[in-house]
Amino acid sequence: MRSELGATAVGRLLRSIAVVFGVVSIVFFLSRGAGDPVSRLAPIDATQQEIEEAKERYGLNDPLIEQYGRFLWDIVRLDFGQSFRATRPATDVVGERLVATIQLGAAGLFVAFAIGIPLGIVAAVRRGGVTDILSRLGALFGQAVPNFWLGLMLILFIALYIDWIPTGGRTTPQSIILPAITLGSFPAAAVMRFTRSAMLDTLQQDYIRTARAKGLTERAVLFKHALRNSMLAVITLLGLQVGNILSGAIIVETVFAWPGLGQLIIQSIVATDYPVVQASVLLTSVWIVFINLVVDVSYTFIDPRIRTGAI
Amino acid sequence: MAASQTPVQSVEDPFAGRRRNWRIRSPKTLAVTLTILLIFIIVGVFGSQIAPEDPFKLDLVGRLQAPFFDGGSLDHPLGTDDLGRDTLSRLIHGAQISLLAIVMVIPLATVIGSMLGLLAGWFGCWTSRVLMALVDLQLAMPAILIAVFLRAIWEPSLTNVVIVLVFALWATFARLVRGETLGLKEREFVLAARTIGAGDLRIMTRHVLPSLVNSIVILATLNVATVVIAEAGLSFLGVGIAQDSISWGIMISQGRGVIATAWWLVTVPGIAIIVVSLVVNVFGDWLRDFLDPQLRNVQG
Repeated sequence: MRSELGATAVGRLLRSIAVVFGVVSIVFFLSRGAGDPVSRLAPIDATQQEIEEAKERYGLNDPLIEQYGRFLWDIVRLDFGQSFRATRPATDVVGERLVATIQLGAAGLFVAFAIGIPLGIVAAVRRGGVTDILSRLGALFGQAVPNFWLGLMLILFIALYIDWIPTGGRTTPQSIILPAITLGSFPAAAVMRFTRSAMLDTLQQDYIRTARAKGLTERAVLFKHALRNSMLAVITLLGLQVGNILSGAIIVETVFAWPGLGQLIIQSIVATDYPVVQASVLLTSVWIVFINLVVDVSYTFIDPRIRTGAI
Repeated sequence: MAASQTPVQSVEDPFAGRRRNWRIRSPKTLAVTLTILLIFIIVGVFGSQIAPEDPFKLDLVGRLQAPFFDGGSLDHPLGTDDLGRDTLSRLIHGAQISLLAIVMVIPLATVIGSMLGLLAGWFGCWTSRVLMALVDLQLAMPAILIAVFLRAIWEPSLTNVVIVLVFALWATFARLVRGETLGLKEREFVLAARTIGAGDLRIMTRHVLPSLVNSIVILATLNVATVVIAEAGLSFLGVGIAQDSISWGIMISQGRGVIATAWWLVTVPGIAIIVVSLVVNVFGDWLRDFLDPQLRNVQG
């Protein structure tokens, strides 16, 4: 049993490493396919000879496979080169911004789950009731609203009128309120629908009828039996949402001038700060893969049926 | 960006009949939906002819005019931007980009995804593994990251947007088709075709694929709104189409700077995006019920 679990985890880990390898390869071949960075970034008055020298220095004249190998080795050592803009290692620049993005992402996830789970439960228990209808209508509508636009509306209707809520930046604790709402609202709809369908599914089960039959209070049936079993499904959703939250953060940070990774990525594109773009794209992908790995493995721990291959 | 959506299981409703069922799919809603869709398509196709003014015409004297219902004049029903360009005309031209994105992305993503899904589902084994690896790869690289990356190495263009969105959307089709093919493989009519000596290719194209058309069409419809919203989002960030062309996302991004004085520049294009996405989604829901009521678990 234990070794089986270990084998699953190792297999899953190998798959994750393969995915990371794939991402790295895509990044490498796309960037080389677009031409060499030196010619693109060299000043206009650079002579052909200077360009050639720079190419030689950065090893861009070597065979592609050799460059690829070097690229992989650099990444293993977490060396993404110097940021053009800050003339510091790109990893340092990216690392500084990471905290702000993690903060925002966590706050966004909190909003999503704090709104989504209770609404989903009520919607399932009182199926066809007011909450169910309103929240489903809200979810339908919410899917049509672009989150960057929602952010701008919050600025227009809230931040411009309420003094203590800033329109952007990361200066005071309340700075995070609007970005977190913007970021969390879209996944909240998904969490709501997921909780609702998981609850509806669980409430059909025989053990719920048994629990009712033996005279448990409705509260105990709902919270001890139905909710706990439904939450398994919601954990998977958490993994899926991490990717969404990160891409959402790139937009939301731009809207609210939140000094995180997303804002850095956009600024680096404008400044053609190539190593920073590369480092942040890779870091984000690896982070998503890692979270999914953790969710997958923890899922097998929580639900023994997955381990034995019963479902 | 692309919302991860969750299957809604159709469960028997213990309260059915006792509670009034709330419906969004009345014939009236459908009529309104189809009308708006038709308007969107007409505006998207004939935008240049319909637009009352040249969307690039500058008029610095008449800049930042409010819409007519907020004190402005009917010369510019939806006001003008900070360079005096007519908002209505720009909105109409913006519909073109949205429609173009839909027309290019949806068929590509549908065909690529369905083909890979069909192959993986039918042959199983290593094709299936390769597909799942590709799906993992797609999950690890959200559309926006690809867009950022393409923007860093190429000039912005609609092609970039199309590549990014096809990459983001193919996997949902592949997963759906693979799953359904796995189920169909064991069905009698497929086994019968096999018995009379039909080859893999023939069974896949003549027997399996036709049974999947409904689900594929439904999923494609449900992805249309994603394309509209994603194109706007990418263009808003400056990683979509070129900044000097007109897209609803670019209009919003340009209106941002004057949000405190000119609310309409940000609000109006956003409402256009919402209306189109909402209408397409309602239509998709209706289509799902119409084509196959059992396909409740087909989600975009």
